[in-house]
Parts: sequence; C-alpha cells; structure tokens
Amino acid sequence: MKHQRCTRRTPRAGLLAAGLLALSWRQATARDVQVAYIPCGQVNDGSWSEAGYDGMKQAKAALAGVGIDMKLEYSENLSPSQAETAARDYASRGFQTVVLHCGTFADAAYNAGKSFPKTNFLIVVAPRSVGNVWTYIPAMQDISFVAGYLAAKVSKVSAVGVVASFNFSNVTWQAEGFRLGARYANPAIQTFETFINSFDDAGKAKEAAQAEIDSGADVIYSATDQASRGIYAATAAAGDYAIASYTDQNSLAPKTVLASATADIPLLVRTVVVGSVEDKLEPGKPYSVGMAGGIGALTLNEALAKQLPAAVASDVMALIGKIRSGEMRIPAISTPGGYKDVDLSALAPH
Amino acid sequence: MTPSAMLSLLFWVPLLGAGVRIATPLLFAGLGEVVAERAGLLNVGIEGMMALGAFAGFALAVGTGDPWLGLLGGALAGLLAGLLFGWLTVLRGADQIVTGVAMNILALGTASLAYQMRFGSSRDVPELPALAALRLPWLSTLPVIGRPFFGQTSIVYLGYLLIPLVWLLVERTRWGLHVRAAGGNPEALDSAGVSVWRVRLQAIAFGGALAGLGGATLSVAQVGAYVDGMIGGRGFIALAVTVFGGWRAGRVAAACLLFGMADALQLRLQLVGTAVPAGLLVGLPYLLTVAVVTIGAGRGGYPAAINQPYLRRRARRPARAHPANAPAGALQATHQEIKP
Repeated sequence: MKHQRCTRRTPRAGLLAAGLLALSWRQATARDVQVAYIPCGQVNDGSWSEAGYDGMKQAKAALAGVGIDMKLEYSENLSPSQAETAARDYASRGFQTVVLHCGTFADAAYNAGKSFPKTNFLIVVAPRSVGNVWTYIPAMQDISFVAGYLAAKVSKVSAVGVVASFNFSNVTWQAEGFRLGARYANPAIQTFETFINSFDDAGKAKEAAQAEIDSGADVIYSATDQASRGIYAATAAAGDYAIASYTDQNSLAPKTVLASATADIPLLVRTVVVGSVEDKLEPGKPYSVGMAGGIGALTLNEALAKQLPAAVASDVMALIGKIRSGEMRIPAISTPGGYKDVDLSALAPH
Repeated sequence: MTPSAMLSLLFWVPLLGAGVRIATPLLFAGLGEVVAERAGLLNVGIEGMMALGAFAGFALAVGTGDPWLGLLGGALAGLLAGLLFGWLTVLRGADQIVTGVAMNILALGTASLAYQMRFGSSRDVPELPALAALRLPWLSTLPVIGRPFFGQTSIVYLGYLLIPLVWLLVERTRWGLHVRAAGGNPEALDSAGVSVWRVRLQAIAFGGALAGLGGATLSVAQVGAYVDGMIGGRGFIALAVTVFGGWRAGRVAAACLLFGMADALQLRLQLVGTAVPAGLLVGLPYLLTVAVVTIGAGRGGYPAAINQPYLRRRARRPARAHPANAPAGALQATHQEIKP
C-alpha cells in the first residue's frame, strides 16, 4: 500500500514541481504591466479616441514582442473631473502607466501625477513634461497647413472654412494651421473659423458648416471628432468639398470628402507608451512630433481627386515634401485669427 | 465677413432658416413635455429618450431604407421609454426627478450600447441621405420669411402642424381636460371616475414619443448619421423651453425658435469677427437657458400636482361617469384650479 501511495504521489509532486518551475521561469523572463487609457470619447469613434486606442493596441503588441504582457483597460466619455478620478483610481490599483488622450485632461494628469509618483501619466497636448507626467503632442498644424493649401487651391470662390471642436491648444493649432495654409496658397483668400464646443454634436457641426457655406465658403475642413458627420452632411447638400482630419474618412461620405488630413496618432501613442513601460522616457521632455517625424499625411479621395487639375496634386505633394524635410516649419498658433500675423515669407519660398 | 454684413438680409434670412432647423428637434421634445407636465409628470429624462429615438430611428432608417419608417421607429422607442418612466413614477410612485435622471443614464447607455453592437465603430456607420428640402408653393416665395420657414424639409412642416394640434388636444378636448386635471387636481379627476394613472400614462407615452421623434429628426432628417452623444443637451433645453413657454404649445414653439435663433446667431457671430470671445458666443443658448429658467421660476405656474405621485390604487368609479354622480363641482373646480 505504501508503495502504491508513493507511486501516486510521485506524479503529483512532479507536476507541482514542473508548475512551480514554469511559473518561476515565466517570472524571470516576462512581466505583467497594467496600462490604462482615458480618451475624450469612445474607443470606436472612428476618429481621435479610436486612433489613440489603436496606438495602445500597437504598444501592447510591441511589448509582447519583448516579453512584457501589457494589461490594457480603458474608461470612455469622461469629463475632466471624472478623468482625474479615473486616473487616480487606476494609479491606486497599481497601474504602471495611465494615458490621458484628451487635451482637456491636462489638470487631471498633473494633479494625479503629484499624488501617485510611482505611476507614469501620459497626457496629450499639455504645456510641459514634469516629474512622472509626460506630454506627447501630435503637431497637427503641419498637416492642417497642407489641408488649407489644398482647400485654397480647389476653392472656386476663394473662400474656405474650418469647423473646430474647442478653442484650445492643438485644436486651435489645427484650425489656424488650416487658415495659414489657405493664405499661403492664396494670400487674398477669405477664411472662416467656427468653434462648436463639442466633439460629438453633429447637428451643431452641420449648422456651423452651413453658416460658413452661407457666408461663401465652398471647402470646409473638419477639426472635430464624430461631429464631423454633420459637416459632411452640410457640404454634401451644398455640393461642396469637405476635408476630414485624424483618420481616413474618405469612405464615410465619398461624394463630398475630398481628402483626409490624417495623423499617425497610433504611432505617437505607441512610441510614448512603450517608452513609458520600458522606463525610457527622458525626464522633462515633451514628445512633440509633426510631419517631419512621421505624424501627418494627406490621403486623397481618388474618385474626387481625379476631377482636380493635375497641378494641384503636384503642388500639394511638393509642399508635403518641404514640410517633411524640415525645409518649411509651420508655427503652432494658439490664438484664433493669429494666422494673419504670420510672415508668409518667413515660412519658406514657394 | 465683417460686422457690417449683419446689416444685410443675406445675413438674417439664412440665420432664420438655421434657427428653424435647430428649433425643430426642440419643438417635438418641448411639445411632448407640455403634455407630460400638464398631466403632472416632470420628465427630466427627455435627453435620454431623444438619444434612444435618434439611435432607433437611424438604425431602422438604415435597415429599411425609408427615413419615415426611421422617424416612426424613433417615436416608438421614445414611447416605450416614456411608458417605462410612467410605470416607475405613476404606478410605482417613484420620485419623478430621480427617475428622470436614472432614465437619462439608462437610455443614454442603452443607445450607446446598441450603437456599439449594431455598428461597432463610427467608421462603419453608413451615410444616410438627409431629407431633401421641400419648398411649399407660394409660401416659400414670400419675402424674407418664405425660404426660412417654407423651404425646409417635410419634418419641419410636421412640427408646424403639431403646434395647433397639441394646443387643441390639451386645451379643447375632453382628453385634454383630463390631462390638465391630472396635473392640476388629480383628486377631482379621480372623483369624476377617470383613472389618473391611465391619463398620466397616456400623457407620458405621448411625451416620450415626441421626444423620440425629436431625436430621430436630428439623426435621420438632419444629419443623416447617428453619433453617440449627438443630442448634446437638447433634452435639457427642451425642459427649459417648456417652462419658458408657460406649458402652452404656441409659446413653447416661439421659445424653441428663440433658442434656435440664438444658436444660429452665435455660429454666425463667430464668422463676422465680433470682439466677443468665441467661448462666450458658444455658450449663448445655454446662458439663455439659465436666464429663462430663472424667469420661469420667478413666475411660478407649474401644474399644481407636478412631481406628486397619485397613489390611490384604483380610481373609485361611480355608477357612470356622469356629472351628476361626481362630487359637487368637482370638474368645474378642475376648470378653475388648474393653471389657465
């Protein structure tokens, strides 16, 4: 009987030892990291928040390649105060990195950063990187400048407009970058700018675009998230062009969206998240990346682009080349109407 | 565009048209709230009901290819949400404010969840051609007001029709008398043998249906797409216009137009380059909301039994609901006591 018992126990003990060995080997070769994502809107908004979420997934895949298992959680549609509560909650639960992918969450990031020094907070478009808080900035004014240049080139009435979500930081850079690009293409052009104070209110975005169309504009640039659907409805009804931003939205309204001023937000988010998890972010350094760093491209709607003069496309491509090479530097303008004060000759010769 | 452009009709005529468009979803929701509040039900959950209507209407319009079926579906979704609100507040006696807040959370969350399940990503939300404008013969050629008021889509004209219809329904029909009694003096209505519960449930179903139609108007008829969060506070503005309009259909319609005009004006003032900061201009409709609610609060005049559950299990029925069987002067008192 004893012998029999021994033979029964031996396989169990072996299995236990093997299990412990496997566990200790895994602990030696891999580590788990918890990372949270708090965007402005929803991770499936087809625009800003989804682009950031794509970057989070890319970071997870990249880290898996070096043996790091990144656990990803997210919280959607939060107000700035709710975002701070969520950020603090994640930090208190031991999350290594909390990504706040909304410019209005800057205070939330700085406040939570002071309370939880062991957690890294990544905040998009904020004034500075300090301590355990890093800001990452997609310099959207670059590609918006190109969008404005294209809009001015295709406008038949020398009037174009931009409908933007909020008058703050990178959204204003976008709107003013667009107006500056239009002015660069045609110094006499009339440009309009409307803020709707919403990322989602498609009805208001439609009326804002309609107001610009009523004022004479025939190309409207979207600097909003999901609300852009309202802009496309207005331009489609008027037979005008729209230019999308952040992601390729040409197929959403193929009869009116002439091009999408895309930003490789996923690349930027992936870079900073991987850097944070691997403790490779430089203290105090803001990570600002524009077209020269691979953030920003123009995707033309081929069906509509065929109707444009060949010179327009070639001029736009030449401009993109100048900005990517660093020959042209587009300023970040934070004041509505500030585009008028920029010395065009200081940008670069045509 | 310069501020001098404001001196031209080319500035004001399109602005008036935009004001009418912006006012239309508010009008539906506001007229529905008139009926609900006159019956004694303060429906704070309009925002959520509009969101449900916007999603259900859009999904049905995409599925069937018929925008009118979509609008009908939006109204139906609002009606069901209204009945849920009614079940909780009328039959279960729950507090109307708390229930309304809970309804907002529930309905907004349901719409959001259904949206994610149906479409996954906004990239997959198809484009639905918005309703085309229908210029009414002769009327649309009237100077100044012709195009803004009569060069709109059919859904706007449905809104115009509802203004006198709701007025007639509430002020000039027997059912309207019951509705006013349910909100002004439910005991008298009960004494007359009419079920307060039934009247209130009918009123909130009507109000919910119109809130749903208001949401569907936005997604199906105006934008041609559903976007999560697109209601953008319109439900709360509808609550404010109901108070500002003194619970009268015509005045509520005028209040909706005022809000629509204010919103259209702020969008255009941003273009003419006034010295007023854009942030302040964008807040104009909301500042107006605060102002009118303050004015409305000062005037009083809420239906006497609003937010008061009528918990009598069954209405005591006389042999027949004949005036002779009702307590002396019950219905006559109702006529006098409810707000004119």
